[in-house]
Amino acid sequence: MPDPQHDVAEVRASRTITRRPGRAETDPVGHARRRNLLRLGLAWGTPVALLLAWQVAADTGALDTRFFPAPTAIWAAGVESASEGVLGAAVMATLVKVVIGFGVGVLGGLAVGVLLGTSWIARAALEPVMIGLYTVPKLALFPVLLLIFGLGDRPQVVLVAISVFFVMAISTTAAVRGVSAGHREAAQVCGVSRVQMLRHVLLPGAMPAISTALRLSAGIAVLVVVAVELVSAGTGLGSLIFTRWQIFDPETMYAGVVVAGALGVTFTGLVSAGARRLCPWAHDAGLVIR
Amino acid sequence: MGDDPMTTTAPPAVALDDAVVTLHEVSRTFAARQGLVEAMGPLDLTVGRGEFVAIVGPSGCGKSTLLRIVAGLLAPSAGCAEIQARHDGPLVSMVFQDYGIFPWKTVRENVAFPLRVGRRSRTEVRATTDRWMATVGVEAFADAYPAALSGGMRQRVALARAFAADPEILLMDEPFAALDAQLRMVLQHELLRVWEESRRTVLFVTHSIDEALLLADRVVVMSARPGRVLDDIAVPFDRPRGEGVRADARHAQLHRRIWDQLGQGAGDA
Repeated sequence: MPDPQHDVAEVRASRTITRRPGRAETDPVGHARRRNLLRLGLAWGTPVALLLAWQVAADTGALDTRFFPAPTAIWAAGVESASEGVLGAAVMATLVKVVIGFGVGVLGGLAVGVLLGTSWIARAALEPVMIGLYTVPKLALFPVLLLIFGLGDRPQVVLVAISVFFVMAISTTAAVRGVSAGHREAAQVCGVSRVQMLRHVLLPGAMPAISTALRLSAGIAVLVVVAVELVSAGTGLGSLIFTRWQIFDPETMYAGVVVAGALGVTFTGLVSAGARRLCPWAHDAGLVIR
Repeated sequence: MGDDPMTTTAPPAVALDDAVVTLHEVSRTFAARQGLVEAMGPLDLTVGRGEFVAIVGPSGCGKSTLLRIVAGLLAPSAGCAEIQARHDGPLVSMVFQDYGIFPWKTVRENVAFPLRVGRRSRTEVRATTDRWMATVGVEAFADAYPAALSGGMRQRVALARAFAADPEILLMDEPFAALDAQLRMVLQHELLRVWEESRRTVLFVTHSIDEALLLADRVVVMSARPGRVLDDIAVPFDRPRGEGVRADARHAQLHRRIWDQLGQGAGDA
C-alpha cells in the first residue's frame, strides 16, 4: 500500500522532512475502488485456487482419488443425486430440523435469559444450574433423548433446541444485565412499568449482544443437526453423508459435505441479515451532524 | 393544596404553602467494604413551585444523591422527602450528564418516550414532540439516531425530552458538564430561554458557580461529604437574563462568597 512519501533531505545535522499526499490521498475514489476489487478478488480467488489445485492434484494422480475424488467428480455425483431427488430430500429434512430446533431454542433461551437478567432471585436460583448444564456435551444427552422421544426426527430437533437454548439464555442474561444503569434510570424516572422497561430499554439495549448470539446459534444449529444425523441414521444430510461412506461412494459423500457447508453458510447469513435489522442504530453511525 | 391562605395562620417567611419539594432531615449512607459511609445530610431543603434552584458543592458531596432521592431512584436512609404533585403528569424528569438518551431510539422516539410511557394519545404525542424538537432546534434530525449526532445535539434532545414530559419537577444532573466551553454557553442560554418561557420547578446540580448564578433563582451550597447545606443564596438578577449577568457587580460578590464556602467545605480550593 502506498504510504505518504517521506522526502528526507539531510544537510549535516539539520533535516527537512516533507510529508506529501500518497496515492490514497490524491485519488481516494480510485484507491477505494482498487482496494474493493482486490478484496473481492481475494475472497473469491482463494477458494477457486484451492479447488483448482485439488483438481490438478487429483487429475495427475498426486491425490488418491478413492479418498479424495476430483471436484468435477464430486460435482457430477452431486448433480446426479440431486436429479434423483435424494439430495433435495436430505436438504429439506435437515433444514426443517434446523429451523424448528433453532426457533424453539431461541424463543426459550430469550425468555429464560430475560428472566435471569431481570430477577436476581431467578439468577441466584438458576444460574449455577444453567452453567453446569451448559458444560455438559449435548451430544452425550442424545441417548437420553432417544429414550424419551423414541426414534425419528423429534429427539434430533430437541437436541438442536437445547444446544441453541443454552447459548441464547446465557448470552441474553449477560446482555440484559449489561444494559447501562444510566439508561435504566432514565426510563425509571419517566415512570415505566416492568413491561415498558423490557420493551423500550432492556430488549433494545441488549439487542446488539443478542444478535451476535443469534448468529452463533444459527451456526451451532446446523452443526448439531448434521452431527446428530451422522450418528442416528435417519433423514437429512448427515445421514446421507454417513450412508454414502458405508457403501463407499465418496463422490456423493463429499457432495453431501459441500451442500451441508453451503446450507450452514446460507442459514447463518440469513439469520445475520435478520439480526442486523434488529438493531439498525448500531450500523448508522457513519455521519455526525453538528 | 386545599388550605385557604386567608383562614390559616401566617406561613413562615419562605412560602412553604407552595413548596413542591420538602426535605426533612434527609440523609443517606452507603454500605461500603469498611462499613457504612455517610454520603449526605442530614439536610433540610424546600423548593417552591416554579423555582429554579441550583445546587453546588465539592465532588462527592452527595449532590447527585440528593437528586436521585427526589427522583425516587434512591430511598433516603433517614428523614423524609415530600413532593407535592399538582397535576397528574409524571412526577419528575431528569437530564443526565450522559446516558440520558437511548441510542436505539431516533431523536423523535427519544423525545416522545415519556409521553408514550404515560399513554398519551397519538396526536398529543406527535404535537408535543414536534413542538419541543423545534424549540431546542433538533427538528431537522428527527429521524436520526443519536449515534449520528454531536454531543451538544444529544444534550438538546435530552432537554427536549425532559421538557416534553411536562413533569412536576425537572431534575438536571450536571447536564452540560461533558460539553466544551462554547457549546456549554450556548446551551445554558437555550435553557434560560426555554425555562423563562415555561417556568418549571427545577433542581439543577452543577460544579460551575457561573452556571448556577446565570440560571438559578437560588443557589444552595453544600459542604464536603457528608453533604449539608452551607448556604442558601437568593440570586438577585432580573429576568430575562443574559450575558449581562456576568458583568453585574453583585455577580462577583456572590461568586466570591460561594467560592470561599466551597473552599472551606472541600478544604482544597
